[in-house]
Amino acid sequence: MIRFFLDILPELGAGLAVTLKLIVCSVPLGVLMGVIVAMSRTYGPRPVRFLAASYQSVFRGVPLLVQLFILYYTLPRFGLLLSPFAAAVAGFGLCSGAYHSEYIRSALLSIPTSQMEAAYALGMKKITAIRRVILPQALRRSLGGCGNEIVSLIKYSSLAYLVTLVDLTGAGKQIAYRSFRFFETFLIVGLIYLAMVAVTSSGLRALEFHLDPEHARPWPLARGTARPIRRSRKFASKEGHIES
Amino acid sequence: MSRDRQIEPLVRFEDVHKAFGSEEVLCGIDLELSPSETTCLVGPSGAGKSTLLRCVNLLEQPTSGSIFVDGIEVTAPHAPLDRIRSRIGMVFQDFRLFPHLTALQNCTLAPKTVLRLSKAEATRRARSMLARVRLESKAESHPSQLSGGQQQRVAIARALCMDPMLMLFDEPTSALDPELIGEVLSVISELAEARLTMLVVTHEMGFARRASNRILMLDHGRIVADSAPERFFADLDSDRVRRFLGRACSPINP
Repeated sequence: MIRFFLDILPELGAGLAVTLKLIVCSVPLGVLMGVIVAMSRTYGPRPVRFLAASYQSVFRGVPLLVQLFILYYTLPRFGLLLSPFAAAVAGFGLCSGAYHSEYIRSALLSIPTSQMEAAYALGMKKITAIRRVILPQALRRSLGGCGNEIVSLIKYSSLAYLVTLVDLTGAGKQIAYRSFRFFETFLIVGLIYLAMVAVTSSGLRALEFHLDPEHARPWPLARGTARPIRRSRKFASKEGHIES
Repeated sequence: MSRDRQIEPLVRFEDVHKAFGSEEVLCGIDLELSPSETTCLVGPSGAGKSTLLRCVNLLEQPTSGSIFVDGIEVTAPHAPLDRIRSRIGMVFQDFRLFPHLTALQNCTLAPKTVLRLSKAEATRRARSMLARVRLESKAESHPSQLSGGQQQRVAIARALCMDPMLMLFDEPTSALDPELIGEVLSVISELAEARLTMLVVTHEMGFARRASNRILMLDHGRIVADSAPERFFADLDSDRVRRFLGRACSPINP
């Protein structure tokens, strides 16, 4: 088993490199799309809102595999020939952007309007208030959901082998078909995905801790390093009160 | 100061009405605020005090009437709202600090983005304002690490960093424990002594009596009393004022 593992290591490594490249390219694209679509749906004028909502429902509603096939196999008929890698990144980024946008949109809506008012009262323009006051808070709040989506993306990146890309899963499949050792091969492939997810999760948790040390649990960083316990937080729950 | 009367008022309300749906909250307010004066706005809950205050920087759009601030009609269709608001400091009942920023960053954000000050200049100004509210040691704390009174003082410093010509306070101590109220009121009193123009909605009658130059009482959307504090508290011929004071002067605010 160890011998077999050592034999297939270079081939799996090459596949893993492709998978990592896919992830590294499509995660930022997805987050960026998510922010743009969420902002358009929340603050845009009506046509922009409509466009953003349509994007979201199409990319969330069509199976990712079908999206990949459309991008890779049917776009060439319309003169747009994408490499397998580009098609996969586009598919993953656009699809995950649709999910990110929902997490970010709900976070944007969860920021009390009183924050916007405080920014207006200081003379900020709407765009400045959104960019400097609302969005930073919303991104922190959407970190949980978006982290979930990033973890999902790591796993569904395995669909890339269906558009002829030899990623980690693709490499595993080739090895298994050649050696007929399906169990060992996919066991190792599975463990590698598990490891990637574990590393990403703890990275996300560290980020969450870094951004908001008082609410996030410090695990897996050193326990008991949380900063002073917060004292009375009297953000009144009611906002925009008209009471005089 | 004999020429006081000729000084252009800093804020002028002309027959301002405000209705939320069918409920009329302000029923024809005429009002002038002179520079360097502290005016307290008192009255029972629901009288329209906060609404009146929020009309000054157009957080609330009046239904009719005109409001002038420093000679500019803020109710005009294309009034430069951002510019006017940047010169009016506002302090809210519920503080409204930006929770993702430290006290210092709360104070530098608007000077940097609105006044386009350099980072060094904004920081210098913020530190001196935090010192003014006696919180220079909390510059690096986040709002959630501060007590209510400290948060409200940071909010005051944040407003002062814009070098406002007018400060609006919307029940600045109503969300605070009695023991924290004092620290906020003493900061506001110091601003009054420094002759900053202020309009303060408050239920703290003791503060109104000590720190203000003028007390306005609002009831059912109308100004029912407008006098200097000494006269206001002596004004027992006005039945309305007497009834209000009878209720408002609890043992903590004699």
